[in-house]
Amino acid sequence: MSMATSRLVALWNHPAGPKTIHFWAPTFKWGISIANIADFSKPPEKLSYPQQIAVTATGLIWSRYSTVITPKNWNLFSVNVAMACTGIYQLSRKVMHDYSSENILEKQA
Amino acid sequence: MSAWRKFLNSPVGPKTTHFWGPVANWGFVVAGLVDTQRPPEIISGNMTSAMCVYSALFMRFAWMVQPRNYLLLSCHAANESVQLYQLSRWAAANGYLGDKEPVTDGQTPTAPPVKA
Repeated sequence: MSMATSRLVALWNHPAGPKTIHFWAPTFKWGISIANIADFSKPPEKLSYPQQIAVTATGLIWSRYSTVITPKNWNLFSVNVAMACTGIYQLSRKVMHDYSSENILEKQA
Repeated sequence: MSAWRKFLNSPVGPKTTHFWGPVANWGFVVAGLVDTQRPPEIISGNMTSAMCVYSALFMRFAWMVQPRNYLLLSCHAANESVQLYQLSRWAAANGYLGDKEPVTDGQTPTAPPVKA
């Protein structure tokens, strides 16, 4: 029991642990993916191409770089993979909506 | 020319990951600036609030990380400004700032009416 407590204490006091910004900043990055998932139910006309492209691009670039830094940061990797996935999904929703046959006909009318 | 070379070879320069990650994050700033010219109905309250917290946290992160990353700091300071501005436009359009009638779209929750 004391071994488990001392490991918890060690984690708590870790230089990149929950008392530090090195923990909370990357942890909060999940908020962006969660916000995007909440926006899955928004109508595609309300989505912003620039914002979703930015979400996707930063997600992809940071996913790559989190595997080439030392040490590899799988926490950073996973949060950025999730961001890229939500961005790609939102972009596909908007593109499919804007380029569906009814919409193209409407725009030509 | 030597200042340029110093930059090229610096530990947070363009030959390193510490450079291109923050450069990618400028995408949020550019997207935010483009969206300031669009009507407030397209602003996502969820995403903009998340961005405001995210950039505040990462300004602190960029300051504390070794080596200190001024590029990341400036990127998040810029993003914080743009996202706070967009948040204020969203709040005004949805009646949270109290000065005009909310522009409702039936989807976004608006502030309850103020009793006269």
